[in-house]
Amino acid sequence: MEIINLILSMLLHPSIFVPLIFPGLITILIVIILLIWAERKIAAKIQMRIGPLYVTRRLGGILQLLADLLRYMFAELIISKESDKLMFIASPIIALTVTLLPLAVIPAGSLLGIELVALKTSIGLLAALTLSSLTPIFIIVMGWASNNKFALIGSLREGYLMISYEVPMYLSALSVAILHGSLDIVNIVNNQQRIWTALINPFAAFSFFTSMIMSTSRFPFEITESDSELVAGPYTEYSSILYGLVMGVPYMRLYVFTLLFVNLFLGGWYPAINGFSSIILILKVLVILLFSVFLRSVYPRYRLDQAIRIGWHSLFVLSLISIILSLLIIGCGGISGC
Amino acid sequence: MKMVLPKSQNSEKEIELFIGPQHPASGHMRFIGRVDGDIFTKFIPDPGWVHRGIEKIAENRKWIQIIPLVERAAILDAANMNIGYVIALEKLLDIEAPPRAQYLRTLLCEINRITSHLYGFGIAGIMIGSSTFYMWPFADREPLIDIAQLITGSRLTYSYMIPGGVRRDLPQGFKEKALKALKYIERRLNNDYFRLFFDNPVTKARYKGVGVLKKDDAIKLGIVGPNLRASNVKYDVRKVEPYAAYSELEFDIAYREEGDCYARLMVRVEEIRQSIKIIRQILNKMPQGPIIHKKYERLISLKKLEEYQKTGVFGLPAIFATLRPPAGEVISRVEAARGELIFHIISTGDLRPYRLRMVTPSFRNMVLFRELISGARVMDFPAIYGSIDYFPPESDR
Amino acid sequence: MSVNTADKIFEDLKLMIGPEAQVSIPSPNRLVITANIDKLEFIANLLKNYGFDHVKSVTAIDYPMKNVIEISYLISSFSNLDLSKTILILKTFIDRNKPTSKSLYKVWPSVEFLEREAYDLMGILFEGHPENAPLILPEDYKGIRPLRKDFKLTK
Repeated sequence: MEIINLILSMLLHPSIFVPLIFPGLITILIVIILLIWAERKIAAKIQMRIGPLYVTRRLGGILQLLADLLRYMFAELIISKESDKLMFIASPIIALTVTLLPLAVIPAGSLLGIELVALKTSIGLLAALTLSSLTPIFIIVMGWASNNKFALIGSLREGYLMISYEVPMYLSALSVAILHGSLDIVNIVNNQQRIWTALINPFAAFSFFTSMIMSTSRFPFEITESDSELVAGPYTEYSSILYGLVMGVPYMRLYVFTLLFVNLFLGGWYPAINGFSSIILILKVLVILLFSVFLRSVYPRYRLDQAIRIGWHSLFVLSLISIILSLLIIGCGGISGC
Repeated sequence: MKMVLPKSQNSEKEIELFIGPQHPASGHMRFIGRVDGDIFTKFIPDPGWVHRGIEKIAENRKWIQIIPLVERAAILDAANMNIGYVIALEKLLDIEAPPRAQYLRTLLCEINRITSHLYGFGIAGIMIGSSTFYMWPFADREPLIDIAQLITGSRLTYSYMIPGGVRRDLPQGFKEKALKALKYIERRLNNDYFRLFFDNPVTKARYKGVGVLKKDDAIKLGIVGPNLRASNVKYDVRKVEPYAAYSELEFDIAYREEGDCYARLMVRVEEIRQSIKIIRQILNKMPQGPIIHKKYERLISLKKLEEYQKTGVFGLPAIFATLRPPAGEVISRVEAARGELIFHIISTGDLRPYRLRMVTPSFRNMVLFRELISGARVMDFPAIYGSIDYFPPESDR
Repeated sequence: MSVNTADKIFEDLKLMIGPEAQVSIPSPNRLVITANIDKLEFIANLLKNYGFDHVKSVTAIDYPMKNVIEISYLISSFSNLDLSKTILILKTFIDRNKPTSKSLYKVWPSVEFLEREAYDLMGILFEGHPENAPLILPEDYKGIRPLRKDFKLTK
């Protein structure tokens, strides 16, 4: 009894519960399986076809991704002789790990007055954004370690894009921090009890959302792994289980960013009665995720220089405007004042 | 390795790319390019991977056996390849098909033109990343392929036209089904395609101003088809040297002045509209009469004659197996979906042709890869490829 | 109408070319000029100035019995509406054992890939062509050129 109590109390402690169970590793895996299935089904319905149906036919093929992952595990892992073997194998694993790091500081609900967050710090927003900037570096390393010209071109594109979407993202987050007067994400969510940030400062919301789409290779910015020009960008040479890992990295990144987006702009878990806060949060996250993957069926992809131009001409300017707007609102007396 | 680019000045900065046959964006052919940063400094096409030797095989086949042979050069466009050869053969034999057969031939050619352009749209869509615009045109070819199946009995390779006429007559109830299919295509083209793809700001950003081909360059390089008409040259074989029933039908030549990728796509959209107009006129004005020249109609056996008068299916007479056209040299040209198709046949009065020369429109357009892509960005390559509507098997024959 | 235009072109060409080559009209809208290989470029320049601006096909025909290869250029016009109705065939004959000919690339750039295909499949070397290289066959193919009559297709 004592042992079970001990294990349960360890598991339910926020600093283990949040990164491991909800909204951490296990929830991410379930969400990704459902998300990729939803993406394929939505695209299929729009394109007048059926989509995945073979696996678990009665449920509409919902476990297709699980079948794909099982197949990847049994495929042969081919490592080219001229590739940098250590970085070739290590970089997908490291990329996956650092993608999940921001979950340590993102809150996921409140239970009986205690916020569900792993690490309560006063610079949570800054920590989350900085940790999320680590992933593109390892994507570039993946392309370099493959020793393949097409992978190299894909890595270069990822590098170009990285410098175009990071600045607007940081500036939009800064404007939210100015508006609510704190870098702690828990404080920002609690400050949105009466009205969401997205309604006060829509410029910041739009520019953060578009930078998020650009950073996770959703259409129309799916330039890194454009699979009709470069075979799969930096991921060309990967096979078997490593391929499953690298295909999961953009989706995990999308999930983490969406959690951040909902917490910053869409009121987090408010309006919520105590027990259901996490459920409301997950529902909001699912709506934003489904919208992001729906874009695949509508848009072609932009050219690289056009995407960079959008990053600097449109998003950068919009994020500057959002900072000015935040400053004006603060000068006017804060959210309650105006 | 002979197929290389000449040595470059700064070989340390430039990457040499072989976009080979095993690539999602190349089709059945290879491209060799040199990339400096984001620009192709040099780019050459390397065709020949699907060469089947149609011209050489034709020297070994009887005249009537060449009809299925030349159709396989470009399966999408089989009717136009078919009619080009049959017109050349009829010039040698000095006969002309009866009016109803001419109208039936035109009907099949125009249906083929629409399906070929829809295929081209699908390839253009997937090249710049729009998977929805890849699935929609391919699915919308189905009503038209069903119509073609009603006329000829097969979906893609028809072998419908024979010297002297065509092989089958229209079945009952054809006109209603055809008009229904045309209405569906028109609605899809004018509403859904424009809303999804042609008016999409991302498409316009990828296509406008990209791969501009000026009028003088187009004429100098010998470009044909919608690519030529998008550069302000109003040349269409159906108006210059009318064949089949085109001299009696009303339609306009689709053309644009800008010469960029968007103009080439819009010329194809307009051609689909004109083809729909032509098919509607054919269905209204179709004359009654025989579908095969009387010289051959007299030569089939009595039993087959009864079957022909009952079902409208014409079985080939035995004389076609030993057809010997008189000696001579003929040139025929037709407007296939991708441009002008030339047949140059030399006969010595034998069972087989002495020389069959077939110049397909894709082969004449191949030089556009070198001219338009050298100096363009790497990501312009799929956009330009999709807009030229190049079909490697048609080019290699 | 078209017969008149072809006749008019026929008269004009006979005047321009004179005794250098033979001009004839075998069928409506088709003219034939048979010339010697040395006069080829001169006649080509005359035709280009007259208004014929592109080449549609380069047909090479092998006559092993007469020991010659016949090269036909099919020429027409895009910009001139009257000329675009006619196709002009410019023929020349070269020796089968020494198959070299003069390239017309400087006159009409549209012959580039057509002449290269004739080099590849029939083995005719065009002097003055920027790149006599294989186009359709594999680069390391050695043997009789496929379109020659001595290349037999085995069943």
